[in-house]
Amino acid sequence: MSIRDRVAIIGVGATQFGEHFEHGYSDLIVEAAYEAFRDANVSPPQIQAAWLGTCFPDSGGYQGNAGASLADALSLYHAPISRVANYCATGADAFRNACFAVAAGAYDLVLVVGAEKMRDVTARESLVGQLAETGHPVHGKGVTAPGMFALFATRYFDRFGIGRETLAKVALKNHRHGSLNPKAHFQKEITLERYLKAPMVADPLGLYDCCPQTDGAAAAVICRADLAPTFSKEPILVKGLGLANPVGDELAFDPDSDFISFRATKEAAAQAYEQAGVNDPFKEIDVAELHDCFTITELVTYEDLGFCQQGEGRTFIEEGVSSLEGALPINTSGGLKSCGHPIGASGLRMIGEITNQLRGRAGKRQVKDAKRGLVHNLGGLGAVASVIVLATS
Amino acid sequence: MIGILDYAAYVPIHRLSRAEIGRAWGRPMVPPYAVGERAVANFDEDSVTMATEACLRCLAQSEGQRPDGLYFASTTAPDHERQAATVIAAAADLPREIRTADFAGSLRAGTSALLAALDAIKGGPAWSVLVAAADRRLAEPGQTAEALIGDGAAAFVVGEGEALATVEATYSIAEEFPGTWRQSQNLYIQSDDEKFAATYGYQRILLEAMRGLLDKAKLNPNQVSRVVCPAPDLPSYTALAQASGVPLLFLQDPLLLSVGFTGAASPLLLLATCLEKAESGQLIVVLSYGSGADALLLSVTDEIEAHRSRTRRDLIGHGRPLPSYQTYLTHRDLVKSQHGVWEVEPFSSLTMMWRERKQNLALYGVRCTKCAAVFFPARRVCPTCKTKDPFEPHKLSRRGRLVTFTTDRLYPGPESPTVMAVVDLDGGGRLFTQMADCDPETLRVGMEVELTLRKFHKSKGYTHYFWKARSIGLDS
Repeated sequence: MSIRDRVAIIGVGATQFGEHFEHGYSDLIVEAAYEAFRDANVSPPQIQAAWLGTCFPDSGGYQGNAGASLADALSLYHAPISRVANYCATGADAFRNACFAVAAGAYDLVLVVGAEKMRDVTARESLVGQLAETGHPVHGKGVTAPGMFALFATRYFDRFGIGRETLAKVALKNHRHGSLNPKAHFQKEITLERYLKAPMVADPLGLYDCCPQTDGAAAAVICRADLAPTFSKEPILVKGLGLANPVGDELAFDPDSDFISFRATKEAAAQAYEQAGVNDPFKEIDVAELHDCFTITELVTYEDLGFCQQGEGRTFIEEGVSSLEGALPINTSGGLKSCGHPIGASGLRMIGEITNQLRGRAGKRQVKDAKRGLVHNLGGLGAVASVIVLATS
Repeated sequence: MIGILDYAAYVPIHRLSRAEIGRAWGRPMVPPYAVGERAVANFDEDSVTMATEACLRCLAQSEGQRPDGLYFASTTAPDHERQAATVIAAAADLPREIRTADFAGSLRAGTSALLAALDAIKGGPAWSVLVAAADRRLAEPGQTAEALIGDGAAAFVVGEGEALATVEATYSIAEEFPGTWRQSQNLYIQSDDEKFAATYGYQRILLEAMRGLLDKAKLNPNQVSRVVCPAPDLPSYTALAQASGVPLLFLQDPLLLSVGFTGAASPLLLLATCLEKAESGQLIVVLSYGSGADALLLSVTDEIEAHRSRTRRDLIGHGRPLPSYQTYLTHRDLVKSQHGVWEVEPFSSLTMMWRERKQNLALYGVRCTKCAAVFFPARRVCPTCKTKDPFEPHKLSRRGRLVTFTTDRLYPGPESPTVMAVVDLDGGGRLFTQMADCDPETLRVGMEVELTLRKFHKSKGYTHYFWKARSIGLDS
């Protein structure tokens, strides 16, 4: 039994993404959830169950450790709530679990919220600090998030003979897209000169290759597909939900890792494409949000999702295929690069972006006639990937 | 024959020039202290890691022969209560049924360990003993001694067998003498009247020990080829040589200009460099000073030639200039690194570290008995053939090739940047770890590297040692 056409998105919501020094974790949840309620035209008591995606409660005052944090924020005490954590695929996986509960017939109408409060601590203390202070006492000690993906950049550069100027094209494109998104953390374009002059973070990745530390929450209200028309004139159907963790946490210790592609993305995409009936993703996907935590990740993901052949990522970005005006616009929201990456929120924000694209509500960044869209997330160093296919019908 | 079966040395790659020390203090050093350079252990090295390096080099040469004892000597063991010899034995993957001991408290701890090893062999409990001496001493910043000290290690295997030098006689003196000292709670060595210490301590006691040794062996000084003697500074050494009446015997380079005075390691390190050029039949006197003196008379055998042909590595290496005196201060944790924005204490469970001691210190992975796949860290179910518990311990090679790497400026390590590397080890297994002594500009995908034991951090006040990757041939 496939998940295809069994669940529909009837409402999405997201906070402004950025540094919310005046708002706490719960405030973010309230803003995102109530926007989704309004969009879905439902009231909170109608919600039968909920899922909360928060990955690192330690950075946000230890809120988000359990579903209780969502119940407290919304006074949603009547509904059972599960908290999901799955690295940077946390939001997408919360959505996936909610979809399966609806598809199983357990509930008709549920809420999914992803939230991460990252800037109640200094930027260096949050994710960087956690990687330095947690994990195995000596194995892989010294790793940071940019440091992990830089391992891919080094190897990819060596293998395909590209340099930072190609990564710059990803950064410039996503910052241009972000300039059109009023909810993005950064809403301005950058120049090549600015990209090149910025400090290096983890060679060959520089500042503008990295997404920022950002606060944010995003939400979706989903229901049984057959009930969707009673709530919404333009429900968006879930066509495929892929999730894969083929190498676990040990990618850098795995003798089979080639550091030029993510097996997790390939396997998650294969699952989602099969469920959705996608045969030629480049032709059949109209718009996509990819997990551009770092520019190199977007480049590699073009290939892993089958949008182009391995080694052709360079041509794909350089010929403008993935820009707003291109044949397959990618990260029309500005991506994690411009929106920022509140871990638990990102997947749901991206689901919201694709939902709005498919409903023709993406404003200045609307992709014409978008009927089928894709959301990709990648967590850990390729430890887990989620690929979600959504469509209008 | 009881004697020296093997030896090796380790000198850290960084060299700090005395001119740079003078520049940093705004007062050029005066001759004879103005010339040369000193070896400086990196921020992640201590006397345990340096001794481990020397021991591993020594054991690599002795082709699988395992000693049944390990003695460690230093005045700068990182812990007063946690035996360094045991840490080194674990890293060298020596069996647990061996004798270990730390020797400390005096700059002659190195020779005291050597003498104790010889006694253990003569007395029967041991067949061969690995003796390692290392020091990383600190003088107060700005003092002349700071420029003269050097960091380094040496290791000797002594035992019954085809010795390349036999021990013909020994002579020791114990004399309470206020030369240099360091109280337990202090970082820096102390001294008082330097002229008194040089002439009435160092010179008088060493000459007495040398005379005592030769009398005991019924030799006159002219029958000796070389005297190996540590030199805290050049004037004291020259004066000692002159006062001996046989100054030509003291022509052995005391390494003051290239390495510095390596404390308890010094007599062993100098003996190692002496043996590099020794010839069969020569008699060598080894002197060692501190709270009295030790003296040993060695007779070089025919085996020396065979040994030299077996060893490949340049004993001392050429080193690489340390960029500045400030870098030395940050390496020694005397000032905070300009990069270290805030201090982190990595998570640790000492129970977990104990459980994984063989994996992490002796460096074992696991090999699947069904499909031969090798993994590090250890696991229970083979990811390749899916068999449960098919694994046997697999000793990992310390050599391999770089798969990929990055120079990370974000990681809040004790020194920035932190270079991270993925290494495919020869014979299987892949390690993701930091690089040591690294010049990031020289890194290339596919280049050869080797693993070296280093300090990672002191979570819970317990020094965590693990392996870092290092370019091959850095020091030669």
